[in-house]
Amino acid sequence: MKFADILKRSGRNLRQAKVRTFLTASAIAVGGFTLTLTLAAASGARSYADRLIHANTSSNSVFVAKDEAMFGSSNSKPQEYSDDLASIFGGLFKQLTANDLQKLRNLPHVTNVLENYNLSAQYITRNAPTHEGYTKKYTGSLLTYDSAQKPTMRIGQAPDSLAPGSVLMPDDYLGPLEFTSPEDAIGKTIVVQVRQLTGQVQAEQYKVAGVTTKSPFTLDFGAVGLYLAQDDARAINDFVNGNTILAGEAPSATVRGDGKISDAQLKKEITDASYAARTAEDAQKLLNQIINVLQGIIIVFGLITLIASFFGVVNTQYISVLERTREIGLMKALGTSRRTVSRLFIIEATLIGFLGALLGSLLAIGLGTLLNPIISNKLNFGSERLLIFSPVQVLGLIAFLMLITTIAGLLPARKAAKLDPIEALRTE
Amino acid sequence: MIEVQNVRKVYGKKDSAFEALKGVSFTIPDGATVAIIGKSGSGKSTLMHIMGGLDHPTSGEIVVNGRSIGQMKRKEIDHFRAQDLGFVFQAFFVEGNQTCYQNVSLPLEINETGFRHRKADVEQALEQVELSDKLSSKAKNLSGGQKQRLAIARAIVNKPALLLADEPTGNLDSATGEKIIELLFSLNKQHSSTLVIVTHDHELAARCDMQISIKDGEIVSVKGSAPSKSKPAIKGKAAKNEIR
Repeated sequence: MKFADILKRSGRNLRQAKVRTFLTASAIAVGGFTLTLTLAAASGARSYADRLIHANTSSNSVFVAKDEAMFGSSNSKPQEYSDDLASIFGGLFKQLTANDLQKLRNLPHVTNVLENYNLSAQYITRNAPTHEGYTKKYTGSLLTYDSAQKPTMRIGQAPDSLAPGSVLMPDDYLGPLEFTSPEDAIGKTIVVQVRQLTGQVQAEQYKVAGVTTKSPFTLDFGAVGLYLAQDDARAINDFVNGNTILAGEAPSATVRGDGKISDAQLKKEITDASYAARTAEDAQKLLNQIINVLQGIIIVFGLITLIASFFGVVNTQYISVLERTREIGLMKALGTSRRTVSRLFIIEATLIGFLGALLGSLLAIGLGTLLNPIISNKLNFGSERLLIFSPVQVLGLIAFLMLITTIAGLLPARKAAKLDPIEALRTE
Repeated sequence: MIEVQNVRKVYGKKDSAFEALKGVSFTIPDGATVAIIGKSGSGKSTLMHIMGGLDHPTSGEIVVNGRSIGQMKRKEIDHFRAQDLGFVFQAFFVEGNQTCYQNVSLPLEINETGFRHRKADVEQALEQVELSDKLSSKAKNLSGGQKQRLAIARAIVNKPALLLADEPTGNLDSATGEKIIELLFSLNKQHSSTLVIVTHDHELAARCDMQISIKDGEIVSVKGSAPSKSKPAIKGKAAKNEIR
């Protein structure tokens, strides 16, 4: 029998058992739906991670620490004690000393080294003389301003450099500090008090130069921070750690290259000087790895539903063979080859897979298209989409599901092919 | 010419063995009409299945135009059935959910007749059994006699050299049965094909050129002979198979 005739007959058989075909295909559709959404979500997450990394790192710069412990890649063995360990985020790390920072600055392709301090204000308040009667105090953390990683501004543009004595304030502080609007805050003075371990305090006054806002592309680890000029941040760090061995040290630094070598080469230059370094690409790899693991977990669940539908197809096709025993017997009596009979049933199974996959992916794409604007709105994504459907992935998935059901159709098809026409025709 | 040479068929093994055919031999000339007569259980259906290549004899041979079916490979037997054989069954075996056209086109799909010739062949076959007006009716909506006529159209659409009919009137009332028999005989004359009817109806058998009576797996009598004017009924199709 010609392939076109086999295909026609298979299709006709499926149409004659519409309900059964639909139900079996629906089982496949559940798997197809899950997998389509999973792949779309992972594509979306990767694209988001991409934007996140690029918004928070600049190419041509490398994140540097004293050793790998900073990146959490140290083994769980007890760390050997050393006098220069500093406690950061509850862990003990070696910091970059003034000497280290100087060494980094002296590397051939390094143009700038920006220390990243781990500072927090004792409290933040309004300046009494200009805002009389104000007594409230708020906590806050202090960040070093890096013009290469500009924060998202509530109004205006992020400045290319921050003059000493000025500060970028998050809009979260507008209300508590009794500013009526972002515009109202600009040019006003706020007071940041810091405290030494020994209890000595120092209050600094800063002029608000800009108001930042949160964006889904900000990697702030939940901290709301005031951006200070590098010299101011260093001064506070020196004061806070004054009279301790940590004075003049920084937990980490952002090292900028001269642009003549790649990030990877810059990283190598730094690691060769026995420091630990991470490029933007490294961070992206890490995020993608997390996304891949999550994706993998959901895909496994999708595959488990597919196993159930696999047996559903096997079962349906077995019943179909039993129901059509007489028809198969007649076809064989009229000279239909075993191969043709087998193909009829295999192609039927393939078509069920195709229908199910089409149904599942169309549902997923429909739902995704419907929900995407809502999700983006909720997450403040702007034009970014959380679910990204790639035609190649969807087509690949449909092909994969067709393959699965084809395999499921093999056993029943074999049974049909082996039917003895005399026995089959005796069935009445 | 079809030669049945000392065909034996044994079902089961050892103690439970049952000999359905105990060495049957006869020769059917091309273009003849032959009745195989016997009561149920006499082995006549088994004989027909073996002649149609559906079943294998335990020993003995079926030789069609010099070729032994027993020595053909499965593919060759499939091909033989698709090209040279037509089957008509007592229970019709038409597909109720398919149209008459689809039922009749099945043998043409099986022997891979080109799409262009199919329509003409199917229409011609339906015309011969006077079902032209039912072309696109579902087979389940036909009467018993119409269903059997449809089955005959399906059996002759590939213009077979040998038509095997197993109790073709068994499920029909006598008037309808008579029409079916007339149809089978007239088709035999038109196509000069060989017609073998398995039946227990002696009146029907008497109208055939040859009557072969079977009882308990053995031939009781062979009456009649080939028609005087014998034509080369098997149109060299079996011979063609060898070349392929």
